[in-house]
Amino acid sequence: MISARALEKYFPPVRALGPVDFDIPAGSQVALLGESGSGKSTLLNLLGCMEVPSSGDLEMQGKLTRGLSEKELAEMRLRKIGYVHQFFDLISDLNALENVMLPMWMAGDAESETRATDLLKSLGLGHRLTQTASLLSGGEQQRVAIARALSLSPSLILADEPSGSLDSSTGEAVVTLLLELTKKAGSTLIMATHSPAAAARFEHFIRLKDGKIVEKNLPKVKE
Amino acid sequence: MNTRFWKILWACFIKPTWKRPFLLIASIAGIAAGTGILCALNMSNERAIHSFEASAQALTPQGDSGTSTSPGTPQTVQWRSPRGKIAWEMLDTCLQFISQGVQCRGVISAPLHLKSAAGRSPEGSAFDGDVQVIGMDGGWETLGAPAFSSALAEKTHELRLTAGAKIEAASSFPSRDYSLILSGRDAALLITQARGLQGVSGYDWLEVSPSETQESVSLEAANAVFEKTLARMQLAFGKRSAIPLVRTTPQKVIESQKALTFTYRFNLKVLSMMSVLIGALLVANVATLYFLLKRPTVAVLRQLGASRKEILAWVLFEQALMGLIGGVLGLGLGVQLEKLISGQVLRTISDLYLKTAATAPHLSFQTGALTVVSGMFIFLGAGLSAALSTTRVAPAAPGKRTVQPDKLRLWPAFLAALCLLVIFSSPYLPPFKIPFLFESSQAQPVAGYLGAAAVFIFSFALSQYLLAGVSAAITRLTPPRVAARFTTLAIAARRNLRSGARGRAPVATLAGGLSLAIGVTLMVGGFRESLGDWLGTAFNANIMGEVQSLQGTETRPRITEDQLGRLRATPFIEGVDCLLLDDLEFRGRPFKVAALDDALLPKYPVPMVPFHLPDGMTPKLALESLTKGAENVWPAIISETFSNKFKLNPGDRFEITLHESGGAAAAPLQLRILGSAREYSSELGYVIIARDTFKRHTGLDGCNSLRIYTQIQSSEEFIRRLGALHPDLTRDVKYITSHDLRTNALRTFNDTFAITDALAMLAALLGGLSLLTQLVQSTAERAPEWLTLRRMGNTWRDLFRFCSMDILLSVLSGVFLGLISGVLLGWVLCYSINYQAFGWTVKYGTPDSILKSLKIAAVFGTTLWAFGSLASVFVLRPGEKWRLKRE
Repeated sequence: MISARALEKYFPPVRALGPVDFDIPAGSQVALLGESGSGKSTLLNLLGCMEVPSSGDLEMQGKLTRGLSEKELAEMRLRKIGYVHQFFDLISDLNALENVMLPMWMAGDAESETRATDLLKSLGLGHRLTQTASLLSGGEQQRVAIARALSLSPSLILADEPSGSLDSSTGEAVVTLLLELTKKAGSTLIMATHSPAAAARFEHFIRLKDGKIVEKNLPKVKE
Repeated sequence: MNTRFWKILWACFIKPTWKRPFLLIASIAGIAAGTGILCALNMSNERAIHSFEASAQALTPQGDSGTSTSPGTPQTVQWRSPRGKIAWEMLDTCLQFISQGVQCRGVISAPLHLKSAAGRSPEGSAFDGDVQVIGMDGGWETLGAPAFSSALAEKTHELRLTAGAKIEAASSFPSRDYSLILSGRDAALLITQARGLQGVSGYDWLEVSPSETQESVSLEAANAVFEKTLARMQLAFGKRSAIPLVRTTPQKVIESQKALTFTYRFNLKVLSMMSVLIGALLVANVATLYFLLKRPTVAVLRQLGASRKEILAWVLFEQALMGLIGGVLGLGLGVQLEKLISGQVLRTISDLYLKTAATAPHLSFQTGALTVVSGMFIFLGAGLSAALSTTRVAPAAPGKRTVQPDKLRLWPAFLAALCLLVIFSSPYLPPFKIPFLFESSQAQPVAGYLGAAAVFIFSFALSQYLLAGVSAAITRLTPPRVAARFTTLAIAARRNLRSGARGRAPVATLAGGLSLAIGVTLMVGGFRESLGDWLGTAFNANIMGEVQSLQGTETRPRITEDQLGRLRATPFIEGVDCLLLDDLEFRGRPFKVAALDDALLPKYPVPMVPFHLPDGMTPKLALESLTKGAENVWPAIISETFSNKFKLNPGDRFEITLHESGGAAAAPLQLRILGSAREYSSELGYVIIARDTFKRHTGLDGCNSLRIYTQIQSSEEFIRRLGALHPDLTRDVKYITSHDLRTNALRTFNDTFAITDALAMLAALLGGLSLLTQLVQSTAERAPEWLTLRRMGNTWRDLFRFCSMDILLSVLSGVFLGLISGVLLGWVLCYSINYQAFGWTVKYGTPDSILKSLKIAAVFGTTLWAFGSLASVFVLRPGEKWRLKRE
């Protein structure tokens, strides 16, 4: 479960987020909505342990992120969180397979090649395994990024406008893929999006404006 | 290190780097340039030191004349003449003391070019080379027959000394140099004859030693007896020689040569360290650019859970690997560079220290390994700051705002201010001895060396501000309305304004290389002009007696008062200035006394060096005052060097003791300082008094140096006519025109500063090579921007202009900063290092040297701009390949 209490983030002199409060049960699929500059990416970065809150508490799977060391935060990112970006953020000089194997290497997974190949094949990229990332199409690159995010079966997948730089049909396919795969894996999915069509696919959402939650519909937390 | 470490190192660091050849080549070339120069200087130092030591060793006494090993036996003593050669007859005087328990011999040592007859060499080929020939003559246990050094004996058994004299090896002694020892007076004569020294023949030194070991007697007692004999011997010498012989020991000679070696080593080490510093700054620049390109990968790895320590380990490992490759390439480059610069280094030693013959180049395992390892560590050290900053990349998408662009930081400004403090305080901090470093026995201008290093750090620290300043100025000068006309310049300025450390690298590198070239040019130019002025004032007569130098000991043949009188009475000579010289010690340190003739010629201006005199006193008045003593206190003018060495100023009184003609010490001479004179010829220091005063105190008359005024323009004609009247005056004195003297002096000066050519060459090579690689690298880094510009409809020619303007801004900023740093470096070299090391005041910022510096800056900058633009565009063809593949 993810729990935020009076969570705030400053980039002095700007307050980018907060204070916000919410609870997201494990296995939920939540859309993060709002205009540009509303604080979506900041919230995702806090949830992804890439930033630490300026104030307030963020509890993830029973741990407060504020008290974690640099090493523990890195470990959280590796083992518990998968991240999918709008601009894919693949390492352009590596091929598709290597990009997916990268987190597995970091986790010391000896079976990385088999699992990464299976993952990519399941995403329809079996014929692109050895293709350098920079030469893949946008949709293919995003599918590689999803495969990389799922490669260690993390409990939380964060997606920052994953369809933002894709055409509408490819974008829709990517969102579908994310929803299906996370549901199948039982992972929590939090996806920031501008697209009304993509947002409509989510039952639960948080709407932000000027860094504050203006509307939210989240699943109830079981006591 | 686990499998994960190696896998990610290979996949995310090494492999991508290999896929970018320009990045790889630029980085490795940068390291290779730095380490290559380091290697070249190290090798050159080694070779120079080896050559120097070999030559110095050849001058030290050979055979059994070294330090006594017997506990009861006093050390061997040498008698040397301050005027060079010792007359043959003096040995006879020495030999008269054999009955008093000493043995005595005359030694002559000369480097000769000798050949062997074919077939007399072990390999069957003729020997043809330089051999140090040592002749020993006297009542010692003579060797009896010629002895060859083992190195020489391996090459030949017979040498031809003169047309009629052959020397055949009878024995050998262990030595790695080509040398041989001859015995007997004939041998000494043969050497003199072979060397063509008929005019100044004699022994180089006399050696005296107790005739037998006295193990039953204590060393103190044996020394006391030996001292008494030596004192009697000194009196006997005094009766035979106008110039007293100076007593020394082989140990002292060796120590003095060791001191020279240490000083020389120290100076070259300082030069090496300066080059290492510049090399390190270059590597730091390369590393900065390199890591900027790695940021996206690092951001992804951080997002994926890599810790900062892991990132640091990966980047440092890759750096070390590249440093190793660069170091190996640098080794090859260094060997080639050494061939270029060693000649210059050796020319400098030959002039500054002693005549040095070059030994073969030698790359020791130590130097090779040191170069490669130091290349690796310098790269690691210099790139550490950039590597650490890379690990601070936020674990987020590189395209997002969480990855902040480089900002102008404040700490370099504080560093630059600190450097300025070090630079401007350096002349006020006295030199001091640093025996733990280089074992130097002389005080070194350490603050000056630190000041020079501070100039380079200052330039490095200021580079980003300067680029930002120039870019801001151009941005302000190109508002939107103007920018429409100068689009490329306006865009380049705006981009560089925000580029931070990215733009700093080429600017800092260019400034570093240029500042060294300009600093050295300013110093050498000022030096040359100072020397030219001095020569112009001191030697403006038509013909003068030549001042000869041999192994640092003056060997002026003194002409007598009678000969001076005859010269002055010669019809075609309008006048003669006469100078008497003496070598003395003051407060335990050597200096020279120059006794000026008081018969000043009214027709000619007083030919003197520039003076520092009290207000209202002219040089002529000062010279005329030299003869006007009161209460036995005589006026004197001291040289600037003497003033600095002994902290004496105008108005101060001091006392010197001259030698009498018999060799004994005269009564102390009380002197009062009138003023000081500039002097560039010797670091010993001079005291100038009236010749009349000198004559009255010592009984010595005549002249050691002459200046002759005549209307005859040709020296050959003058000598012919003088020879017809006074044959002895043409035999004893060599005449040279002041024009030739000036030419020779400046040629010597150019030789002395030949090392500066090597330095300027290295600076140009370093700056040029690294700047080119960095410009190409920064062009490559902007690949996505070129693509965007192409997509926006810019032609390939437009991109050329963009590249060119980018490079122009870097070059302009670098040249401007290089000029500022060069002026500072020149100032440190002139006022701190040079003044403290030698005590000379050198002109600074003379028009010629400023003009030359500006020319260097212009040529350097223009060449780099042109080559940088062409290299960036034609090598990379920015935007061209992306258009073909992606559009």
